[in-house]
Amino acid sequence: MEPIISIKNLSVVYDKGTQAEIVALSDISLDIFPGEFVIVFGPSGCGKSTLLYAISGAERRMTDGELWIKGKNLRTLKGEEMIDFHRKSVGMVFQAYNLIPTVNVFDNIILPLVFRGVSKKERMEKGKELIEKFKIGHLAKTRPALLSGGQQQRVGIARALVNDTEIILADEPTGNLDSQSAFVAMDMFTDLNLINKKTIILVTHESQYLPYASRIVYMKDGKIVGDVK
Amino acid sequence: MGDIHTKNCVWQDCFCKDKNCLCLAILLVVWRWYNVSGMSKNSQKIAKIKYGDLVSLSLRNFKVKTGRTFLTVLGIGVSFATIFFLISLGYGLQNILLKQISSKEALLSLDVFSSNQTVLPLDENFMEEMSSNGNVSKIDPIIAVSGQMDVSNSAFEVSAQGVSQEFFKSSGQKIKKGKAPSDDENAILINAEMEQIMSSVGGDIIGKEAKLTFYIPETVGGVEGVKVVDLKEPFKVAGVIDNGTGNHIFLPVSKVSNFNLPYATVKITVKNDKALEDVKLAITGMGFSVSSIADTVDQANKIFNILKIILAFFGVAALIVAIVGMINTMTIALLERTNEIGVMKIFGIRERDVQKLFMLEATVIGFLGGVSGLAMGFLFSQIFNLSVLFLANALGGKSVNLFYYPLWFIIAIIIFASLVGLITGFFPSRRAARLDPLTALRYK
Repeated sequence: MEPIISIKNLSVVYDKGTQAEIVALSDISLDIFPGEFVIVFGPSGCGKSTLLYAISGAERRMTDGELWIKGKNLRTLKGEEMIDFHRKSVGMVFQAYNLIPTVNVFDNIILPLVFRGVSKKERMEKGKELIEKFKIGHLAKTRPALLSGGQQQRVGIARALVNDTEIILADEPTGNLDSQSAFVAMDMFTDLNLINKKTIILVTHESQYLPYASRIVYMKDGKIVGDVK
Repeated sequence: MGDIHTKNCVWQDCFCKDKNCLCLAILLVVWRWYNVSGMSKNSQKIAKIKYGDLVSLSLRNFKVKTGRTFLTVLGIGVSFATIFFLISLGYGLQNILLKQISSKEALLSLDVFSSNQTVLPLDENFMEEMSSNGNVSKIDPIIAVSGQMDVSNSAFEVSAQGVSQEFFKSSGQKIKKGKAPSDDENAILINAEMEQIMSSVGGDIIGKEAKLTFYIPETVGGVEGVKVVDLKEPFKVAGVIDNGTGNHIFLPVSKVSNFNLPYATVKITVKNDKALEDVKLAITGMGFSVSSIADTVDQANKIFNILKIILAFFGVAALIVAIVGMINTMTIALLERTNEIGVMKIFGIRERDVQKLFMLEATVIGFLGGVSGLAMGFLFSQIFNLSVLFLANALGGKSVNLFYYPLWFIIAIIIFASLVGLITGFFPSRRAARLDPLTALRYK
């Protein structure tokens, strides 16, 4: 099977050439296949988030190597191709939820569709479907600040799904949640992986969530130190 | 000018015809620039935000952060209110003056008087001289004599002026009540100030009969004296004219022409403005003094132009404060939403759309600032006007409108305010658009 993500000898260096130079990723190679639930595990500062953001297209400080996603070399994407990549290839879930505080739950979920100029009718359908799926329909008109952490993260996950991308990236999605909400969230990722056949890459430093993964990538000091399927 | 077919025609119209069009043209250019600059970078391959969504997204902060937005709008509004107040005061004052004194006819008229009536009397000789002048279209003599008026058992010292029909018709004279007497009618008009006094003594004065006595100056054997002449026939008070302070009555010139009095003033109307100087020279050549409203208007306009520059200077100072405040607001809004911009970019918003969001928001703030400025300026000016009117009425003065709001100026303020918003929003919005998504996302 062809990998959906193929990383070859990738290095990311912050503030290259200055005193503050930090090698965040050093010569990483990794192939991720469709339908995998990958947890990238490691202590803070090991480069796991850098890896995730590199895959998301936001991390551009790649100094060496190649990063192929669905047949596109991310290092060569520019301008509108990059925007197109953001829209069609990956959905992102954050630790701090990062919902837009000035719009309500429903509009937060459909915001990526608004950016793409999708018609109102289509947006309503898609939004309703997701808001029901995550059981937050009663909160549609509420602003994010009034929601619990667990509810906000559900909105965040719904938003990541709205573009119907094959890959979902999650950066410490349970980091701000109590343990009960955290397990609920992890169950959601499992459902997305098993039922919706999404490829999931989830970054965490909490070992209790490792059993959810179909594959665990261990990282330390910018290098992959273990890869267990 | 309804059609905008060709650019050339629009430009010509705009610069030549009126100021509203100029504003429209600026708007057109800005809009074109806005669109062209939006497309220059990349041809549009990927879908962008719909305009309706763009508007509602950029307005969301008004709904959620109403208090702060209100304060920002208020800050800009006060600046524009100041400008609006000052400039409309300038226009108002100019308007009062020009409306009072300068009809087209008034600008063509000259007032002739003699500095010494015994040496150089203003009399029939002068009248003949003037009627033979080809540049003169009308000659209206005014004879002034002091006297006494008896009405309803009260006597008033008055200054009587014998005038022609033309005097009543000329636009400088406002007949407030009744109508002007015809040439040989035994009727008079009294001025507004007299009416106020008389009606407080004996009720409605219009239609009452008055008896007139004139004091004709005469010189008998080298001694100056006064001859008292009683007019036998009574005069009807025909109406009230808004003219002068003190006790003045106006009656047909025929009623005072047989006392052999020189004319107090002769009003000359010339045929066109080119002839004005020639006629003036001819009159001063004869030794008479002459004054024209055109001179006064010229001087007044000069003074008002200076006044408007001074007022505009204050206005510009207020505007600078507003602009600085607005740049500050937009920069803070940007910093506050840095995180948000990062998220939006990760979810695929175009850079252009980020910029448009911020610029639209700034433009709307500017627009609202302009509108609220107009509202506040209008309110303040009306309150100011009312208090001045109240004072003027209490002191027996005339009611005037101190403020004048030209339509083009109102439109210009709104457009200019929106433009200020657009321009102050430009740099912060460009910064927002160019933010690196990861840096923005991690901004705390």
